[in-house]
Amino acid sequence: MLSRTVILAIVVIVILAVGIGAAVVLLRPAPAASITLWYNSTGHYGDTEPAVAQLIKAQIEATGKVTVNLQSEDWASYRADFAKGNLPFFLLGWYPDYFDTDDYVSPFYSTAGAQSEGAFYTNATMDKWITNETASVDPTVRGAYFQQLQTQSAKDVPYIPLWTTNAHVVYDSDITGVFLHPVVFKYFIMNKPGFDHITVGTTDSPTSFDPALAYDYFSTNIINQVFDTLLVYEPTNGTLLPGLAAQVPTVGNGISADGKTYTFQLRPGLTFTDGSSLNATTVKRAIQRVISLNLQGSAEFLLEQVAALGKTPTIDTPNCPGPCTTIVFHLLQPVGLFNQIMAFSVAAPVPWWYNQTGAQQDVVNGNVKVTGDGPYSLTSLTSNQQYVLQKNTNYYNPGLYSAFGIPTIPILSKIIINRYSDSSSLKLAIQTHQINMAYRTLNPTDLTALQGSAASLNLKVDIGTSPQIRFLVFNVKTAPFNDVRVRQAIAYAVDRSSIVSNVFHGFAVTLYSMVPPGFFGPDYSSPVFQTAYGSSPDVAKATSLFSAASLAISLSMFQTDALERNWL
Amino acid sequence: MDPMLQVQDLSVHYKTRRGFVRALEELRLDAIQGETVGVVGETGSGKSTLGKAILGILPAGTQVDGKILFRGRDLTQLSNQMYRRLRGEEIALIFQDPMTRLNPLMTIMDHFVEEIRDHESVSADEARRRAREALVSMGIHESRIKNYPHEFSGGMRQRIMIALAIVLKPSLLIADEPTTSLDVIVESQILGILQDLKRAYSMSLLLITHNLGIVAEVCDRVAVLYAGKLVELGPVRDIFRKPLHPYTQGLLSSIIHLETKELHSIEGSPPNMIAPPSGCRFHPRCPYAQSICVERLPPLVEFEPGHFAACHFGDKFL
Amino acid sequence: MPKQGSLLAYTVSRLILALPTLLVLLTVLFLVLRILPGDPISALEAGRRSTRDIAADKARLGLNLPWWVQYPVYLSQVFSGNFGTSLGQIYLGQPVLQVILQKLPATIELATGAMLVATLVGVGTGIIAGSRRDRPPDIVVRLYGSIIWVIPVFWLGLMLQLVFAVGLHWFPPNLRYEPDPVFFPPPSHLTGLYTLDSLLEGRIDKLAISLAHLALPSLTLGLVLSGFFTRTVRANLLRTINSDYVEAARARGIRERYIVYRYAFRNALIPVVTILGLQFAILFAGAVLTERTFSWDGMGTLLLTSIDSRDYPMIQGTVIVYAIIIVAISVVIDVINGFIDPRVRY
Repeated sequence: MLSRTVILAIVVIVILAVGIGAAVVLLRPAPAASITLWYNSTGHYGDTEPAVAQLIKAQIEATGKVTVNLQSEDWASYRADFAKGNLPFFLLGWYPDYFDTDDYVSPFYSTAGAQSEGAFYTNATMDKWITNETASVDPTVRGAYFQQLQTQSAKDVPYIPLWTTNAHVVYDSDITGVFLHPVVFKYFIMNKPGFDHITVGTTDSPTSFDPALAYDYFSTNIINQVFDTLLVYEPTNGTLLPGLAAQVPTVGNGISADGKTYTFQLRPGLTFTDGSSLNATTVKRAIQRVISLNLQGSAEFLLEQVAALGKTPTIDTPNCPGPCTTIVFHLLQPVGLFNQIMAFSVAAPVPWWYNQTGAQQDVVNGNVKVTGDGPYSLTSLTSNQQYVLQKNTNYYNPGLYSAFGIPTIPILSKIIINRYSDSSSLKLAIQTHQINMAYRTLNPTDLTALQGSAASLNLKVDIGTSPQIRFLVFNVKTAPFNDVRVRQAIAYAVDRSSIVSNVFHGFAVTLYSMVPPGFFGPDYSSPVFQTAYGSSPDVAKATSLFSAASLAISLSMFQTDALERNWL
Repeated sequence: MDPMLQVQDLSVHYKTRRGFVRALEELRLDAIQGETVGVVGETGSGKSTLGKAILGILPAGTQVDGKILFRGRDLTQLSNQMYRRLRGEEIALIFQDPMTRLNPLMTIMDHFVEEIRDHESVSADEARRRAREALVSMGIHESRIKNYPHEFSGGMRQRIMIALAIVLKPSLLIADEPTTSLDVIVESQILGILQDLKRAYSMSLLLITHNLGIVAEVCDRVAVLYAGKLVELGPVRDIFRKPLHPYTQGLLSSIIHLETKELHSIEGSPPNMIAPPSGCRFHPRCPYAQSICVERLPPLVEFEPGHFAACHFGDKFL
Repeated sequence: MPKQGSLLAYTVSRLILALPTLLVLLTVLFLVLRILPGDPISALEAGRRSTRDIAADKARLGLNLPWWVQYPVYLSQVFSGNFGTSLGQIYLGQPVLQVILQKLPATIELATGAMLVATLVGVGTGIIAGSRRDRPPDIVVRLYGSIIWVIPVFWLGLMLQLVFAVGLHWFPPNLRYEPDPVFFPPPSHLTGLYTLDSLLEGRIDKLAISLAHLALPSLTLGLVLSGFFTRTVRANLLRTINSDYVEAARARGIRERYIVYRYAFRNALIPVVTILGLQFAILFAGAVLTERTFSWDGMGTLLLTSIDSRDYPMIQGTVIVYAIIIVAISVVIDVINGFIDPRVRY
């Protein structure tokens, strides 16, 4: 009877071998004369991503010059990989960190920002323009710089802007306080009569809850519930309010006349939820920690470069020891949007005991090690499954929004966030009232279906314009994308309208510049890609650019191959 | 003495996709207590059907006409429950191929206990005692009673089958080719056992076989079947001495020739049972066939006392 | 008691024979995972990482060593349960075995539920069809057996979700337990099997919730597998019901229900038990898709995540655990077979 078991074993092995073989074949590096387009496979941008990748592949292949391989991986690996420069050509999205047009420029075209995006683009002129633009508060001056920046971006093409998405949330119709805020989705102002908690479903998964590392929407949004920053946003718009700081610095009252010194007064008696102190030293130490760690893919450059704190920031804490409530930032040059950056998660103070040599691990031996000072605490975390936010009963600022008719925050004592594998699972969960809210990301089909049945299911569907932009990124240091002609060829080849209509059924808007039109203050957006490459694809031009670059492509591909063989 | 078993005008038609197979046609047969009646015929003559028909275990959908009287009761009119009780208890059947007739998942003991307790309300211990007794009486050692069927040889299995058949002391035993699949030595052992049993319990025995040698050895009377029809019936001595039906004559000459190692078989092949030949069914193969044989079915006629034959020219062979 | 003794001896012999089988299996896995051209790290990472990174990864995992050095290390790792630590971002740094043991109960629960459904439905329909040959129930069941076999798992899952969760609200649509731990605290973690943990805790309400969540995934996977059972049981029952020993039993006047159960059914079951073992391999493959459809956090999801994140130690660990489970199941199946069929014990 051994034979039967052996047959069984062989069957199993064959099944496994076929499976692994398939995986290996699917994940195998691209052969010569082809390029690889990467996308996220785990629902970070909803489950429309494969369809988008397919369309772009077809559009590029329409030139007949290159074949495009598609590869995907989970969000956490994706982030880690593109930050390390491991992804040469990939789809990405961007959600603003602060309320300023600069947030669509610095993160992409400054040398430090481009590194975080995995583009590794560097252009000294662009860096200079960005420095000048951030230093100014004059709309005319800034407008001129933004125009130059955008025009140059269409020539260098480290990114190809594609579309802006919608923002959407589906929830029980009796939940109040739901706002699709352009920066922070605030769970702490939500209420559901008769309930002390709500459950939320998402397809998102986080990378890390350490402010020094997190730089994706889901992670930073959770950080925004768990950590407070010096300044915080109004419930529904981008106006800043005092958070940990007692007031918002203004010129003459906290901001020096030359715009290079920012002074914040902390509220007295602040602590983290574990009781550890939160004073000017803690804030200073936290900012220094982010900059000295300079973790790959983090928002460190926002502090170092955009906020002009530099590699070794000069931060004074004049009344320490003692009350230790005053903190003074000395900037290398004037920065008009420093306050905005102090409201972003990267500037959130962390307890003194946070890991100073690397990112703080979220969970150690099953215990959650995320400790903040915000309205909620992260009390339970099951990787890839469930995140529980529990009311911080000692929250220092329950009256934060009392002027907006919200007497005390947080309202609900618990927010339970569950992860679903895809849009359809998420839709089923909200449809059957397994969860009270579905936030990010339902695909257009599911969203339309829910819109139709919302009333009968006692659900509300909020759809708003989103400041999120979607685009392609080239790692300009890797072949063949180090050849600008290849990037330009692809800029000619992509068809934005086709993606918007075929994948998003109109729930998206075509985008011709990394600066989307009409979000924050003066509109500096200029459709530079439309001007440079036309509003519809130009296959002929794309083909000829590919041909011009082809010698370079095959040569570089050959080299890569040879290198790989070397160690195989 | 009243016959124990009386089969009257029994017809059995099997339903198949191509039509009705006329396995038995208006068969008449009887057996008195203690008598051994042989039933002979070629494969497909309907002789196995007869055994199953008497026990009422023909496949569902089979059409059965006529009467089967057992001790005066018509078995065809019995309820399922009554019929079940009768099987094994009063009439038992031994099959041709003992290798496949036992449940491979049950011990020999299980078979016995199950059968005994399905018929009589006795304690399990009593059932086991009787099982051992029956097995030992068949010459199988008691220690093997907990073995499984696959641990026995063919001859031993047939003895187990016989033990199972007689454990309830039935008054009629039907043995359907009980020795065909066994070798010659085992065959004679089994035949010996059957004869001993018959004498010991004064059972009637219906011995279904194609082997006329066995018939000559064991039987009191013999019935010859051809294509579902009874063609000749009579005392063994009469039939062997003076076969009245050309088919019986053919059968007898084939065994005689067998002894001289010369193969002689009846010309032609057995008829199509769905659409049998008109008139006398044997006529296509009969060396004496006349036009009347094609036109008319010969009736069963008593040519000598107790010696019946269905042949238009039976008197010619007297 | 020779019967018990021989069954015990048989079980021991099966266990002893399982070891070489496992060794063969592990060796083939070793060949597939490490020796066949294109080692896994290169395959997973090439084109994205610098060659230096990849070489470092390989060195860290010992994949740069010659195979005769790797092989004993690999075997000792397997037998000591040390599969290394995860390289993927989600489970970064966690011991592979620890993660697998967290996810395993979910898959065991799903597999058990699915096997239960598959055998109940498959054997039930098979008996209906086999005992009513060519009559309408048989024709319906035969149609069912053929159709259910070719239905994709995820499609069936989606349809069941739509009908029973969205439409009728009989069952929750997905997850292993209610997503709201405030109203519905999950059973405390003892075995990780929610149903068993609920029972151990003595909480019928928790058991009901666990079972309700288990219902649709088990049904999905179970129904797809049941088709094979249906057809096998039907064919075997037709064979045994017309068998010689059934006819002989009938001739002995055995009660009809005993004949159906002890003779026809038990004999028909033997080949079914044998295919049960083979079905487990298919079951695990199907479980990957089912787990995805139902956001079921088990081994299948883990395998998908590991492939997504190029987590080589996790992929290897998962596959080895699957292999061990399948060998273990085949031993159990052999013993069950030995229990019901005396012929295989000798």
